[in-house]
Amino acid sequence: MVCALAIGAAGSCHVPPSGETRSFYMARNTPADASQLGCYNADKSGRMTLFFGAPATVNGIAGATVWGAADRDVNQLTDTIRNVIRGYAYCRQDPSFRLLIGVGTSNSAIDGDSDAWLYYHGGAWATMVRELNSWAATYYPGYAQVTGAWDFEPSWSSFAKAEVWMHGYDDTPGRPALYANSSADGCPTSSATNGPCNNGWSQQLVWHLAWQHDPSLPIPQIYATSGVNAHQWQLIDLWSTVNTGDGMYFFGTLSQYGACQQVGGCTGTDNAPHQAHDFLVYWLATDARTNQPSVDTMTDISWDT
Amino acid sequence: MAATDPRPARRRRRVRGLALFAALVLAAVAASAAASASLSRPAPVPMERQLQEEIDGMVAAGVPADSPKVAMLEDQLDQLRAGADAHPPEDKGADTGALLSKAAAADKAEAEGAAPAGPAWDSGPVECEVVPGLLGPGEIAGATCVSAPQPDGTERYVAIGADGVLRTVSFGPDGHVRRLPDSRLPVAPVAGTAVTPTPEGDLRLTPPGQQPTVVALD
Repeated sequence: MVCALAIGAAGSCHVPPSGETRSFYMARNTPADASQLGCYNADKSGRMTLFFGAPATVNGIAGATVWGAADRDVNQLTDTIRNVIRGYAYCRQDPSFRLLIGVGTSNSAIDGDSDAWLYYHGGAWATMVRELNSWAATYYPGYAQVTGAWDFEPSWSSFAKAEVWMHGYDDTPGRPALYANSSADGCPTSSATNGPCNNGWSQQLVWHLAWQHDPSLPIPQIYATSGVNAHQWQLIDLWSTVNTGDGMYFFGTLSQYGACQQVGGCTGTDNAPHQAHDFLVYWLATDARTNQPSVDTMTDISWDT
Repeated sequence: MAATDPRPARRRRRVRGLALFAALVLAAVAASAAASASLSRPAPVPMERQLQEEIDGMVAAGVPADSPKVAMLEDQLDQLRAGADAHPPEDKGADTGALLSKAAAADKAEAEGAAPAGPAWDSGPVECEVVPGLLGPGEIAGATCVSAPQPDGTERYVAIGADGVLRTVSFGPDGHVRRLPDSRLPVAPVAGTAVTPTPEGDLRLTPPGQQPTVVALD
């Protein structure tokens, strides 16, 4: 509660430094780079996301873009994540630390893809993540778990295409959880009446993907230094609580302070991790129907280059 | 039948008595073992506590305790708990120490300004993709994208628009990511133009049925 009243306060009232995790845009993926990234995170324990880019066909199978480098297929992505886990296990600073790694893709540039292919890709992603988690449970059970992650943003695709991908993931037997590292761009900032978001989406549609699907664990993007992103998510939560009786539970916040520092600054969207966390807790507390006493994960994204 | 009844009856009672005694002993042993295990079980690690708090928080917020989402998190928690006592087989898939040494050596060479021993980035086909905060969805719509490794070890991600505008993001080591000024091709690329990086870090454009031209990426 103190945190809710002290936006941007130092982190003494929430998670320890080890629990303030780093997430990454995975632009560099050689085995040495991936191992080094795991080792770099040896001081952390908690949920984090390793983001790859848009869904893609690579070498004839499912894969993802990785921005500055060549696209990678699911087998190559698997190798990368395994090496991250190996590096973490090799260097881990405290035996009580665990990483719950979300392996992420997005809904970027998928409007031109067929429904059949998107459903296939969602399933392939779920299968990759499930197998990675099984591998981690076998060889590194006291170190890491693997889940899926998804950066879906209304501006990036139609809802219909995003929904097809999600069904491909959700319908896969044994699919692990899926961090919804999503934005609510264009969604209402003062009403909870299923108002419109960007690109034909609505509060209901964002809620549907970020929460209603069983795998989804919301860890949304809280970038704006005005706090408006947190307010948008609180209003989505309020709409769902009032209209469906199935309100959201937030597992964390994603900020981009590190990435903003790397690219030379972001105007008004560079919340530090604690600011993002405090904004969300604050806005959730503004209505008893959305109040959530604690939000455990705070993770900040940077470019891994 | 009557003459034979007592013996079996006594045997049964004796068997019952033995079974009762054994059960008591087993129960005592089990209770002792459980107490011992409870005492010797390590305290939950922070992530176990966090997951339990999340599960409790969800249920307190009204999510049914038997919901699939709660079950999924309980599975995660079970996996975490099991991991604490596991004795996993050795992972022989990679020599992590050697990989870390290789990465450290590359970092050292980079810091000393040495030329990279090999390409720092993979090269190959790329699909157009938003670069968060630097290259938006409207800028990649209809574009052709290519990844061009540079001689200095950096990488250029170039989106060639149908209008001939080159929108470029530079990726360098240690998180150096920058949008570079846009440039324009002399003529807009025709449909089907193949775009490949040259060894010098420039772009080779080959329109269908025509000779290639090289476009410098300065």
